[in-house]
Amino acid sequence: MSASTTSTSTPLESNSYKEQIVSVKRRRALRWFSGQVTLWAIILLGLLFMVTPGIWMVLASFKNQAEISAIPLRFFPEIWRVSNYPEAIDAMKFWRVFGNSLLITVTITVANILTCTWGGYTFGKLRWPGRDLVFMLLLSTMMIPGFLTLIPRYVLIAKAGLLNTYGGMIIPFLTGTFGIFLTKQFMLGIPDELIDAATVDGCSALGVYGRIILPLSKPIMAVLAIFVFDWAWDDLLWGIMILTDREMWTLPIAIANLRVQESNQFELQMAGSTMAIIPVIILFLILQRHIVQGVALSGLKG
Amino acid sequence: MATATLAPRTGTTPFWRRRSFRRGLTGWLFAAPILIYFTIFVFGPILASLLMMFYDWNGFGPLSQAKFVGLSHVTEAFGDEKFLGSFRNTATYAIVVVLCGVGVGLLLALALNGVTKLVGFVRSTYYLPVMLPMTAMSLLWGLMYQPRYGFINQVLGMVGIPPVKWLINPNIALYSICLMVIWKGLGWYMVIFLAGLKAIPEEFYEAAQMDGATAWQRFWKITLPLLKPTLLFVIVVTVIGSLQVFSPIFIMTQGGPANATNVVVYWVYLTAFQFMRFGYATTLAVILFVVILVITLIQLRLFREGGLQSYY
Repeated sequence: MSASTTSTSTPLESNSYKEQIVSVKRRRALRWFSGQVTLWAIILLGLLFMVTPGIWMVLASFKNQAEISAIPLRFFPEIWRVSNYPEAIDAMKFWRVFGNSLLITVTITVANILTCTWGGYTFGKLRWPGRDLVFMLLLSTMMIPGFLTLIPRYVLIAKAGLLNTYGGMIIPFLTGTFGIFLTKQFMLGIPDELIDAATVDGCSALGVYGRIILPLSKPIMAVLAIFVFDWAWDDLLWGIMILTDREMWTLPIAIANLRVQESNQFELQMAGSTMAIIPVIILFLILQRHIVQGVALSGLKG
Repeated sequence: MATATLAPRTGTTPFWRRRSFRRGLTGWLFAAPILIYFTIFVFGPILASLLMMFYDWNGFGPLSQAKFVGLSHVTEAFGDEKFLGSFRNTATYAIVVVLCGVGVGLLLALALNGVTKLVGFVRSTYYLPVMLPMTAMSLLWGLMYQPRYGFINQVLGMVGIPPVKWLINPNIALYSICLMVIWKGLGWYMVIFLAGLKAIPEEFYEAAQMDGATAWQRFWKITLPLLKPTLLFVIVVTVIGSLQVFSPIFIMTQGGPANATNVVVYWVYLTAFQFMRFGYATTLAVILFVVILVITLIQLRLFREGGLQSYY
């Protein structure tokens, strides 16, 4: 830093000058220290704000109704009521609903990984007339929010006889413009020479996709998987439109319904909510690094 | 093109054997499934929306029963107090979420950019609520917002702040939902801003410091202008997302109290699936879309011309 500029030798090598340097250094260290304290105070205060609700939810899921609504506040349960969980599982038909959610979400996620890399390859690596025009057309739909097409898509699904089916929940979400865009950006990093070499060796375009593009796209697949899974796992609006049959419900619908069905059993609401976040937490712990990097990437690319 | 130099050969080969044709065909064949899918699930529904605006239809009967009503839905919408109210609420919500999210997120990113230890851990912890399902978090916050025994009011009570009627007072309810959504989204803003900050070359700050620029000046003259693309991305994405808010409203307030948290998408949902007015609901969606489009275009313009660019 600029400290080095003051320490370069000057004609005056007197003692007082050295003392002055020492005091400047000390003052600078003190300022650095107080700066760090301020920064950490902000960070820790924020951290407390971020984690408290989650911790409170998990603790509440082990309390009983009276403890949750106790005045004054009781942070920890007196007895850890694990039995809240089996009760919530019964009330929500948890396993059925969880299975529905998992099936729908995993299918959508896998489909998106395949279709988005396919799209990224088609628009990022293949060379064909009209490509950029077609891509611009697709990209323009990113400006169109989902709710505009919500009702026509509902009508389409209803007329196709797909209400209350997995198909109705999955088919409209098999691919996405944002995913294709993100993958295309990523594909720019795959060297053309690799593809050309494979083509010269007699590899077809389909073979290039399967043998070169897919294996090399693993990092972007992880990012896509997280974005899509997290979004699909939490989708409520489309679900309440398409699924009226309780057997077909997804987790977000069952969670939303807990508020009505168990309006006075807060411990069941909290146990249900805690169970709903477990898969996401697991996914987060495994893929943490990819997630944060992926989000950062999407921002920089934008 | 290359074919010109190979004229004698290409003259004899039929067009379907030519390399350029083969390559073009491959491209179009690869694009075909995507284009067909988008036609059915995106372009088709967009056109259908624009058509459905002009029809009355209850969502059940055959489409042939739909009655043409011309522009009456549009005129009705502009006189519909509930719709206009939901519009105001949505706008307020979007503005509050964007301003607070960007402001606090940037502050946290700046703080985290200034420290060297535990950055990864802190960043992940902040990001965790972003991943958590909105439905479960809405249920949780709904309970924490309980006026009498809710967690938040009890904690506030400990430091002597009188209880707040978070979701019950019509003047506060919308902001309470904003607070919860900002809490959930904060990590996203922070991570994106942090990446933007890390991309700014250190030399710029060193040079500015040599010239005697204060920390405040460095923020306004270096950080903010160079963060412009990131800011644009964050604001555009947040505005589009905020205008579509649904889950927290559906779970926490159902549009109440006294329509104070009634937002457009929630109202569109009710209009279609409770009042069975599909045509009118579509009209409301189209109106919101037009507004979003105009706002987004203004944002893009504002950031491209003048605006922060004048700092360069």
